[in-house]
Amino acid sequence: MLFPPLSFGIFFLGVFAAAWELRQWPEARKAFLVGVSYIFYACWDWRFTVLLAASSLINYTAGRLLAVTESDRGRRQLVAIAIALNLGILAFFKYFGFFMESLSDLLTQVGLQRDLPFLEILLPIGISFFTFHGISYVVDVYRGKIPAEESPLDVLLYISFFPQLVAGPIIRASDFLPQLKTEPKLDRAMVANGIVLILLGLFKKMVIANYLANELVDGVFFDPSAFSGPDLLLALYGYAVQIYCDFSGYSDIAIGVAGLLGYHFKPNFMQPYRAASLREFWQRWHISLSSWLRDYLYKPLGGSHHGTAQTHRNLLITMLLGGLWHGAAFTFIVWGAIHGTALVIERMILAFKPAPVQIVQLAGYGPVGRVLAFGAMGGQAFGKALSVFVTFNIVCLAWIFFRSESISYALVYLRGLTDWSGPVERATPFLVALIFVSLAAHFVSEGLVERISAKLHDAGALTLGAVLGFGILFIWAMAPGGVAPFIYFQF
Amino acid sequence: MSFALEYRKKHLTAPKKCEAPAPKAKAKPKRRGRKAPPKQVVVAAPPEDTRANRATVLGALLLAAAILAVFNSEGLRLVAGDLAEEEVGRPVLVVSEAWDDAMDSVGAKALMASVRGLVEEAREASWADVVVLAGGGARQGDRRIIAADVARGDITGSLPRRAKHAIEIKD
Repeated sequence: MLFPPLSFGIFFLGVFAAAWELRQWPEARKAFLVGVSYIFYACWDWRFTVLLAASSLINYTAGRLLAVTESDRGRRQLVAIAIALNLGILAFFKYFGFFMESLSDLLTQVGLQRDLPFLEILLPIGISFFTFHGISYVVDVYRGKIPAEESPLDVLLYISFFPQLVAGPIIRASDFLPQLKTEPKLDRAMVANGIVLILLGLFKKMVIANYLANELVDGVFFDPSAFSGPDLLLALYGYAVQIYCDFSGYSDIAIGVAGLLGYHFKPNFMQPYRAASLREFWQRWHISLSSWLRDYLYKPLGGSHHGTAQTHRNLLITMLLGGLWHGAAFTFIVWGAIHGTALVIERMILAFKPAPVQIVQLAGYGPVGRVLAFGAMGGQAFGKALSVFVTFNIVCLAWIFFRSESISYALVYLRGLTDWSGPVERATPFLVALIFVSLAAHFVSEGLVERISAKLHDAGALTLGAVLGFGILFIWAMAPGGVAPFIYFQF
Repeated sequence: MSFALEYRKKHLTAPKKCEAPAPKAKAKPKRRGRKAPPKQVVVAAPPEDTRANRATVLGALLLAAAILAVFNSEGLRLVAGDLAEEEVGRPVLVVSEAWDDAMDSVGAKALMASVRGLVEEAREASWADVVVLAGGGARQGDRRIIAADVARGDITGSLPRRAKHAIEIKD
């Protein structure tokens, strides 16, 4: 079941009505939400509900054992075993085929060709996300951030909650589980915010992302050698917009739906393409993943506390594994390597960067000082704009590998970008405007969505229903036909 | 400002103001047999009523569903078509087809059709169309010239090569 279609609307209508009816009976409400979450997941493949339940019970059991284990050594061993089991499940379903194929290629290259065991393994949808939820729970219990749950229902709900089950955001146990202990409330702000986010998410996914995919990106990336440099560049920027709108659109819908059920999720994207550095980019893009990697991988490796060389090593390892998390292919590893290398180089440059000019101090030195201050302001603004431009293009360079089928396809794409002699075929006004307006939207006020939803705080059912109904109607009318799957479903 | 200037301003330059003593409040005569009225207590605003908000959202969802059923009856028909693969879903298809025909007859589908039409026009617009729009609308002669340029292949669906030249040609 996907978010946009009518079937999800009917499903959510029933879930909303029943969940709030059960508000006075918390355990029954949680059991109901677990049940509907498993039904939601079963719509893809009912067999994987067993895997989901098994993963949840492994983490619940680990939490209970941590609660009764007092010795530090014992607790560390328990955490290690739980993490190994979680990652083992993920590795088997997601990386076994990739590993066997890579091993087979390597053996062939060195003349030791073998018939390796062949297993066709289906990838359970959302496995990367619910595995990280499980690890988050176990580690937070170990660190004492949250107590181990006595009721398995809470852990089952945390890991399987349907708005975030298949494509995130990666919700922390320490953020979600305390919300299950209090009586859920629904205030006007949550209602208005939920509706606005759902409409915004649907528009980003069904209109912007789908048009760019259907009419530009898929065709160009399918055979980059058939297109000229300008078309390749336009398709690359188009993909940057497509993946942002696709993924952030899903996150918006998930956050909005969870809000209407009384649960607060943190934002997952904050206008990432306005970032003036790679570091800032990762504070704005897929925030739930980048903060998860920071807290559960980068910091345990040592973070930035053990000298420059180790910091750089930790950054590279974190970004490489972050790339691998996205998929079992060398292209994702290269994508992670580009980001890791760029982050390291950025740190090295910033270490030697002089302190910025204090404009206020300059202005205090009379007319000459004011002229210098004005020049400095202009210089800083130009520098910021250049930083944003450079950061965006480094991110786009990495997107080539993220999107390409293989490294060789990505290299063909890169070579094609340097050839501007061919005709321009794909740059229609519609697509150029779609990309330009979508990128420009990254520079509007960050609180714009909240201000828009504030106007609906006092709206009644009639106004909210009209906004929601006509909003969805216009989105369906504008969108291209069919329902393309969300990109992050494959992770 | 330096400490010396600050001190001077505060203590040496501003004249001291003599404040008159506050007048004593007059004592009110005691009334026999009557108690003083209770002080007015400011009560905090009551917490938002989750039940009322839930009813609002349910009403909004149902209204949204009704709007979609009326103006996007074709979508309902498509969903019913999928359900009709099973025997139990076939009556739903019959009802949805009848509903779709009814909405078509009252013109409810026109709204979506007009929005789709606008989007299609925007999708199929060429750069020549954009140049014409930016120029405030082409005159009849310009349109013929642009059409001729398109036919010759001087203006393609991508970046225009001679659109500007076409506009400059007068009748």
